Amino acid sequence: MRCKEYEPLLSELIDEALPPRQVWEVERHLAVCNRCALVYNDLKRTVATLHSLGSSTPSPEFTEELAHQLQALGNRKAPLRELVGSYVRRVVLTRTVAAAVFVSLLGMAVFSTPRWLNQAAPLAPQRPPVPKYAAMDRSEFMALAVNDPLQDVSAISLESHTSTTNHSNRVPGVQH
Amino acid sequence: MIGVASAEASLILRCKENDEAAFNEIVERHKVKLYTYILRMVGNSQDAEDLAQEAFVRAYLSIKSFEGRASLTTWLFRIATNLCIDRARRSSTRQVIQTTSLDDVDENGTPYTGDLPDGRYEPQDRVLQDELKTELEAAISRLPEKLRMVILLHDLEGLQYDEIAEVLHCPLGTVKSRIFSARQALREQLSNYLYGSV
Ligand SMILES: [Zn+2]
Repeated sequence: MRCKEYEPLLSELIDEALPPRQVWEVERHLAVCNRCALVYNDLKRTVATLHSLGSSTPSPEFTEELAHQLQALGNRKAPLRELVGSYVRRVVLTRTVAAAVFVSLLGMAVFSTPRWLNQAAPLAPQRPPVPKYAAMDRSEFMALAVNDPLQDVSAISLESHTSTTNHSNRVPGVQH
Repeated sequence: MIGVASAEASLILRCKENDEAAFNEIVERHKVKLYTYILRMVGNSQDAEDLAQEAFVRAYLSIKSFEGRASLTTWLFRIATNLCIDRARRSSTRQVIQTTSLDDVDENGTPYTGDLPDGRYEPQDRVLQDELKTELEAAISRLPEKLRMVILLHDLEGLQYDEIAEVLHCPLGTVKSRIFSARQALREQLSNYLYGSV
């Protein structure tokens, strides 16, 4: 066997995952091959360092937020995707309608008022921050899911919701 | 281990009977492991928390169908891994990982690389060892996703080859060769810090 063929076995030797016969074979090679012995030692140190890397703790809000999400799903009347999807659609719909109304009002203002009034046209209103669906109380959440007029549930995913959510900066591992 | 396994089995049983407290205990037991894994996969704490929460929500919704063929840990890591893969696919047009968790710094601004004491090295080696850890975290974040997954699951979370095969739905041989490739890649990136190349 050549050195290249021994290398994958070095990794398994470190994990003590080789059958005894192969252990003997690899160790015999390591005793005579300086190059593989160096690779083996480096791999061992790499693995030892990997084992010594620490873990990170989620922020204190993590468990609380999760508890809210689970609470909202407590009676499991609707699957998660449906609950979240309907909420996201509701937010998107509301925003779209609000934007359409605003644009048409702006259009009316531009075309129907004198020039001097246009200059005083109001700025776009600040959009309210989107509350995380988990932070809503359960009845509110269920009401959104149950009363939603739209039928297409699959179109909007959790991801698109997540991207609209505002987060505070959190540093894992550091207790606040 | 038998004690742990039977405690886990009874927790799962209680969850199947809609015992909320039992599921909360599962969250408490697994949140650090799951969050740490996801954090190293996605590279920032906000996304990691969102995905970890989603993983637990999915576990909660499907625990009734959990058959116990795999351990609860393996099952949770599988849910988390699928979410990470999903996320990477959706954001494949932009770079997913730049470095490991740039926001994971302590009050002094130094990167957080864990707090486990390592008694195997002499004090004069401590600085070098800390540097090595920092470099290693960065090197892990640069690994291709497939290699990063296996090395995190095996060398950091302690899953066995067969458990990783279960998590990733791939043959045992693939798991072994990816672990080797990942370790080789890390070894090469850390060559300045390792004895063999000094
Ligand atoms: Zn050799």
